[in-house]
Amino acid sequence: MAIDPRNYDLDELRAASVGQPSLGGRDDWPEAWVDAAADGDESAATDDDGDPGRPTAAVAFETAVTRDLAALDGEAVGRPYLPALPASLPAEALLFEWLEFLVLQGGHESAADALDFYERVGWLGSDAAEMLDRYLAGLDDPRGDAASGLGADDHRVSLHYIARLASCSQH
Amino acid sequence: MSEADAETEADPEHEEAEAGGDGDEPIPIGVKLGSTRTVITIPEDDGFRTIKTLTCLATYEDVITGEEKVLYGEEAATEYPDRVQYTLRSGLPEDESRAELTSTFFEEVIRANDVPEDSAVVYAIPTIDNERGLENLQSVIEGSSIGEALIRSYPESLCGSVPALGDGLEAVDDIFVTVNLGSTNLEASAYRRGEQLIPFTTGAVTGNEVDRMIANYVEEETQGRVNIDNTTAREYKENHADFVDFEPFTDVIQQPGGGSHEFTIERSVMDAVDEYVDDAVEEIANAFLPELANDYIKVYQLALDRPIVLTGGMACIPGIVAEFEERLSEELQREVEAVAPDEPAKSAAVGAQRIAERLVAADAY
Repeated sequence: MAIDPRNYDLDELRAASVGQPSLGGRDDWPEAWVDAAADGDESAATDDDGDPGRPTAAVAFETAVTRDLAALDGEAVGRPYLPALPASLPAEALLFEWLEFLVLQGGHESAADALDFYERVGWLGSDAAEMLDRYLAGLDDPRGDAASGLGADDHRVSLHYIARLASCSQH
Repeated sequence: MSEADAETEADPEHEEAEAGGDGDEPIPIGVKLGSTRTVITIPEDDGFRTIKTLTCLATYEDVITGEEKVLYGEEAATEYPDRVQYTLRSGLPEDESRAELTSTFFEEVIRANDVPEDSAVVYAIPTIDNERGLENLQSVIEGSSIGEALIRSYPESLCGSVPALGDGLEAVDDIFVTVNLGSTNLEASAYRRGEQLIPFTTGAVTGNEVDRMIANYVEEETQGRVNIDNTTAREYKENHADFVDFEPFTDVIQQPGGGSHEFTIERSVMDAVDEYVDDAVEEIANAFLPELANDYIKVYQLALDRPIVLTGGMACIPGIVAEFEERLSEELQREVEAVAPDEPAKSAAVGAQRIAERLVAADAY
């Protein structure tokens, strides 16, 4: 239906908008990146943990993160969780999405500090951290919120991406 | 027959909006056909002309010629309260007869206000899962005399957020959550660079319901002496609801047996809007946001650390943005910020006009 607002032409709208996101929109990505990102978006339904004191949205957020961390629970998995970056286009799409998140949420400097921190606590191996630093050096976004820095929930989101990247490595 | 509440305002940020002024390009126009009000934004001279009118009409017979005449907007509501019809009461034309009425209304507005036919028109449309209603609205839009060059539609929540997030189309490059506090629906969506995620709509928390509550509370507050209709209740809400500086007000009704009765309203209006904010926060915190968190972790986390955009008619109530922000922060147990465009009731049409302007500039027609 031509006027159904759910079916607007996203490409046309983005082309008409001002500026371009510095990391590129999904339209600029290789097809495999888009598929990988879509896989991540279509996550399974969450189970409510039933804690009456916790806000429902926070419970849903934590459940969604935990669901992805389940991939790291196996006996074979040890620290660092992500020794090296998996070499595939879908994994590359994921890591750029993750770095974009860190930059938008905390600014470039906080993102770099976070990667150092993740290496120290054994979430990242030195090879992975080094590569991510290199990728990060080429990224910036004027919308990055350097003033707020990164919080605990942001690091949970990072762990969610690390788990998904580690899962890509296993496959 | 009627003249809408038309106003012209200069906007130096959009001087390029004079597209079409040279006669070569179509005029970029933004339209919101709302359940309560219809708003049309047209570039003119150094700024914009905004047409704002109630989405209603009434017909009457010319006593001399016998011809059927049409009145629309405030004039129809005031002069013919007994037969005025709000053509989009549920947000979309429910059937063919409502579609015809809406067409008649829209054409009257277009004709009376000289809305240019050689135009590129972007419509801000509510995201309601109603195939038949959308088909009926499509027939209204396609049958109208404007939009000869181009017709597009985008979600009302996106269009309404555009003026809140910058002077251009910054909203299309951003990641954010928006909540439309409308007359017939409460809508929420997340947007990721123009892509709508998790569109959420409920008809349980609405501006119209607030009007009904005000009417009921007025009856209670006056011990049954005063019964007001929903139109009067809406006027009370629009003229007196204020979270910052509410003051009790006095009104007078004519009694059936003659004479008048003066009464003062102290609680009815604010009790109703207060409950509305609680209900809206409840829906957003416990229905919409959990779904967003479950399906889009990154967008959820990014969007809640950015301002939540409130649009729609209810966002016009003074202080409601701060109330919503405070109560949602409490419910989520984390600080969130809420913002609204300068004129929430017009923002969907303004945003739609900006999109139309860019589409014209990009030769999309």
